[in-house]
Amino acid sequence: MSVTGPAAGALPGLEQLLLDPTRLTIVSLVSATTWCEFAFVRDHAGLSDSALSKQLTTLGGADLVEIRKGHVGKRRCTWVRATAAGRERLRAHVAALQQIADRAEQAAADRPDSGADTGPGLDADTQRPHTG
Amino acid sequence: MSTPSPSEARDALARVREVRLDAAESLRTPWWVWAVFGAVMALFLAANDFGSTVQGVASVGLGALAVAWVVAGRRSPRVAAASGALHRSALPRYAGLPVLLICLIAVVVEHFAGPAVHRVLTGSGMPAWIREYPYTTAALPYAVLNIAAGLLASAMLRRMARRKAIR
Repeated sequence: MSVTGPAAGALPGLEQLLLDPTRLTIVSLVSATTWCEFAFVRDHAGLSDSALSKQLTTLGGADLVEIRKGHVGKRRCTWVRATAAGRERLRAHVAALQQIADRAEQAAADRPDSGADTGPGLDADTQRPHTG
Repeated sequence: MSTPSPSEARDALARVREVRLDAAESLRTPWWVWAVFGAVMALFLAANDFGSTVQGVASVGLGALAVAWVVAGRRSPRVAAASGALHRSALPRYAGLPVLLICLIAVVVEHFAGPAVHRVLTGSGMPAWIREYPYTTAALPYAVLNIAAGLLASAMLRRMARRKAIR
């Protein structure tokens, strides 16, 4: 299974890479800014420098974010931004997640006696959306 | 894992909302940008006291500064990160309208209040140096008005970003 691009057999727009909460946090954060500093992302994502660097390399390889390195005075600085494609793919991913949540809510509303969608006693079809 | 469960999807959506809200709260234009903006606007108004040549140079300089700021913000990550600007995708499509309205109100206030202030400052009851340099005297309140309009527009943009993030 490829780690980039839409998830195989999943809803259209769903990104396999963004199913990881950390990566989703990073892309959501940088997509709200024009450019942001590495330290800003690190602090808001609650990651170490090396962990963030690794995630950014992965996201950069998938063309979700763009990384630029430079200097402020003598200090080395790294800036990150979401690419145009990255913003669009995040938007599609969020729409797909919303669709999954809405379908589950609709299914629960259609069968009020079946309880919560995450509760015990439900079969796999109600836990997972139909993927066609 | 290829498709998240409904609860995972809801968790992910909540996370995205939280991060976007956090970004809308955190990204603030630093104070020095407003200070520089006020100083530039004050100098621009004060130029009226020093003849049409200085006034022309000030107008061209102001336009060049505005263009340079916009271009630098787009091309330089350093400037964009330092200015704390939200990306337009984090704002609703109509975000420009309230900002435009605030700017229009500021211009209308200046247009109607300007001549009255000028008459007062050049009146006979004023000290000679004020009568001689009325625009320079009015530069500080003018700068404050512009900063207030800028801060209001900035606050409104953040509010719109928060509302979009919650939806």
